[in-house]
Amino acid sequence: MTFDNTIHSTSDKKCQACHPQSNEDHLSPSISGDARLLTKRGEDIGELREGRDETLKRQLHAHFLKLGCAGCHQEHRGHLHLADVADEHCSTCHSTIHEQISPRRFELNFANFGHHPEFALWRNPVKTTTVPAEELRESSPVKWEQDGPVDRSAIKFSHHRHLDPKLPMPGGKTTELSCVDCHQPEASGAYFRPLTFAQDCQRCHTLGFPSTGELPHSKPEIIRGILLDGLARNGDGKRPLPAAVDELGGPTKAPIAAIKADSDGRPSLEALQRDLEKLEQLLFAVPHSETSHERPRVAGLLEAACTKCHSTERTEKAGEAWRVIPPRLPEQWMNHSRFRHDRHSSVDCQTCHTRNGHRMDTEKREQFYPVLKEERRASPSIYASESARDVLMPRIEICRQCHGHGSAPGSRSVGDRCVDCHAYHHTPPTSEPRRGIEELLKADRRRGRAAKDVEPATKAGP
Amino acid sequence: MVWPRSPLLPKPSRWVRLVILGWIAVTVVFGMQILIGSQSGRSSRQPELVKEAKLPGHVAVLSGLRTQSCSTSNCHGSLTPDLREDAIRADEYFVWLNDPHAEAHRTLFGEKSRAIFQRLGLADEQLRPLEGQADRFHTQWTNCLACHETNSQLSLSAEATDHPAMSVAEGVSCESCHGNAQDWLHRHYRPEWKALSREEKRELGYIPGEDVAARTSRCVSCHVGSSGGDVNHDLIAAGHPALRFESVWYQSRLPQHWKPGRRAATERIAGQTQQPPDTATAHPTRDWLIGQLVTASASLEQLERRASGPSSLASWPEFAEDNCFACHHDLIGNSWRRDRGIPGLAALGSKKSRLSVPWGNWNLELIPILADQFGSRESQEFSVAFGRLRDSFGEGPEAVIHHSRVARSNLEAWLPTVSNLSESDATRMLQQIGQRAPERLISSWDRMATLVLGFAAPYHASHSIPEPLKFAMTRVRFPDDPTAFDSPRNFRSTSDEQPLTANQWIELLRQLSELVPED
Repeated sequence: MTFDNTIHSTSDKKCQACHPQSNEDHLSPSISGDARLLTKRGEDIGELREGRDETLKRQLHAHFLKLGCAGCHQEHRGHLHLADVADEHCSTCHSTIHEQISPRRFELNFANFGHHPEFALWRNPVKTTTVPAEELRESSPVKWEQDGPVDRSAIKFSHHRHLDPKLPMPGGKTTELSCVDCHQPEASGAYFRPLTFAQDCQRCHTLGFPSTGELPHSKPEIIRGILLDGLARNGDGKRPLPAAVDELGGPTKAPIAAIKADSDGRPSLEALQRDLEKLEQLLFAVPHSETSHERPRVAGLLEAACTKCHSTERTEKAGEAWRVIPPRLPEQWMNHSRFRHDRHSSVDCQTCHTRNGHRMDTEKREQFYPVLKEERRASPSIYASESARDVLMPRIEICRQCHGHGSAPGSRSVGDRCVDCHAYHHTPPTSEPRRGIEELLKADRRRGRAAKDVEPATKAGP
Repeated sequence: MVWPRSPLLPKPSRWVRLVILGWIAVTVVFGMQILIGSQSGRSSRQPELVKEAKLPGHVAVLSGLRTQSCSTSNCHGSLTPDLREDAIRADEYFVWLNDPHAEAHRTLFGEKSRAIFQRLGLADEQLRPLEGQADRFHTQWTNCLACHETNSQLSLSAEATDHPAMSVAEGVSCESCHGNAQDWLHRHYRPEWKALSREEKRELGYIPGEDVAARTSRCVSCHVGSSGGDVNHDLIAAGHPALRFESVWYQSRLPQHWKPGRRAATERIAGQTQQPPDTATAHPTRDWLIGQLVTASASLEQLERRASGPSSLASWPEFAEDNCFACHHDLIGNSWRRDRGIPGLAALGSKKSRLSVPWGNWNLELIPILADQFGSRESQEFSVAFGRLRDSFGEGPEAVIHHSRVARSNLEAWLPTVSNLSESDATRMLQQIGQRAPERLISSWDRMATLVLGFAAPYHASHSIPEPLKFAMTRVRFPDDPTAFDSPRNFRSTSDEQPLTANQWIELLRQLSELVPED
């Protein structure tokens, strides 16, 4: 849906005609001490924020009165889209925001991209801004350790290994992967579709056993169910599992060995039970996977397999000794901004995505292989990234290689305006799904009905 | 073939029985030691190190890359084997899963292992450390993991515990035998890897499987012992099987995750040779001989570590160094060895020596005889050094360490000449041993059983075993009779079957020596 600014150009006084939900303070809910925080963080934080916010609210309210709606919402003046406003439009407030708002609630105090602070991802400590620091830390895809931020993905992955120009393939062959073999653009071209094991990994990392065939990348309970189902099917003698036959004459392979038949030629219940126990032992290590810290424990085959990529943790849940720590792979890093990868296709991925956010030296891919030498371990190159703990996002210095070089006024060649990356007063992401216009309307209708329903009762009152 | 799964190793429960029944014998020997001379010889005083030299341990420092790094389906974890003659199997991981080594870690949680910890007074039946025993428990647990979970420096997850490796996952895996892969993992699938020499690969940490000595040296790090893993007398007494390793025989029991003829097939296909595919058993007797030397070297190294004590694992004297059946035998019965007398007893009082437990174990019993028979300068030097080592036990641990180092050095000088031996020369040498010194051979079960395994080496892969060999293998079987706690059946029999006389053994040896294995 598009909005025609020309038609809707109006004066400040008429804004509420179309924006009835604008409160008089005209403040983002996240600033104004809101119900969301109360419900999310508890009353303590809400109360804490209540006192501090009063000052802020008063200051902002006064400032907005001075500016008027059109002071910011230029798109309603006529032909300008929000995405097309000059930096001065933002710097009206943000260049002196420290002076205007006290106590200090904003990290930002700049007039243009040249003064833009380092991206929040690379700043430490996390400060309370419009969102409490604790909440920011919780929602951030990184956590700070002694040497800097580390990715909280809870995944074990080596870009170095996978980008080996001679990656082994079946039959003694090798291949060379590139970024887009796994990171494939979404339809819009702006970002990338989420990575999935089945789509991006399983082609080379087959799961399963010779006797079971390929197994899905799924939760341990699902795998257990599939294997038990296989056993049961084997038990009825109709659809036996593929037998683990070594065509080279070696031993057959667990975990599901061929079940020995009874004298009548049918698999016996005892044999099934025995296989089940063996299976449980091998895959899930029951009953030796107790969670007592005092006692050594043995990990089952499945856990050992999962830990190739995942981290596991013990659980107190009955019948479940361990669980996979869910991976945290953000679909969009730096979600206070917007970015179009397709418009940056003229540069290589690794120009911006380095293992520590710093600019990459002119090192060739071959220099990192076959073995990563000690002197290259500190290289910013993604070819030196051996761990998924590396934060592979650029620092602002990388963007400034092209952006922010004082491009001539009116020049569009290399953009560096605020609105090139930022949406207007972009609110932090919430866990609540965004509501479209239809949902809003429905909600209004529901409210209206509710009001009608209540009305007769009111009339019937004393 | 009548050859039980573990013919030489008794079940632990049998050992326990053996220990209980043999306690009288042990007491007697201890008493004799006290009476005859605790002042000299193998003092229980903890010695100081002879010199600062750090004893080389066999425990491999692994990279921590577990099987997960190898078992990718593109590499060694394919769900289907590659049937091409000159290709690797590609499903090595799944073959390994069926290998006993893959079960090593789970063994620690079994009933017998838990019983060992209970007998050691370290843990309850659920492997929970007893109160006040946590540190001792973890010392012993780490000792176990050195061989039962060779990648134990890695824990599956960061647990709230001061002790690492409380989670064990995969037993004895790829790197344990193939070497620390840190520097070669990402080279070995590249075309240029094939151009590297064996030495160049070794420098990268790769242990070439086709090099018998190198391969066996990895085996003995656990099957004899290492600086971090020691199956000492305490552990054996608690129920751990005594370690009696023979490389060719043990290897023949493993599921093959390799293709024996792949290398030759590769060369043949490349047109380099017209020879038929080689096999892993092409030099079984020579490999057996190499195994004897490598095992003996590891055993001497272990002797030095134990004599160097004190440590949490090593103590001196360490009875696991000695012949088990010097103490653990019946005090009654009609053993012809009792009639023969105890070697060394006559020398009592004549020199510094005294009556003590005869030194010598499974790993070292046959090696001096092999050295004498081999007859090279290196082997003779080893033989002299080994004799001095044997005599040095009366002079204290420092002397033992010194003479052991000399002997080990001579052994290592001897090894290359053995490695160059042809199979026919190795077989001939074995036959001559059987013919020239039968009395020396039959006086010890360890010696005789080791030799029989040497004669059996060419037949491990065969379904037809010659009669005298089959008979000899049966006779050196460890007794499966609950009433017998002596060494092999019919060395001292309590069953209805009469023990072989010395002359019968000599005749059997003669028959074995006349066997000519088929090519």
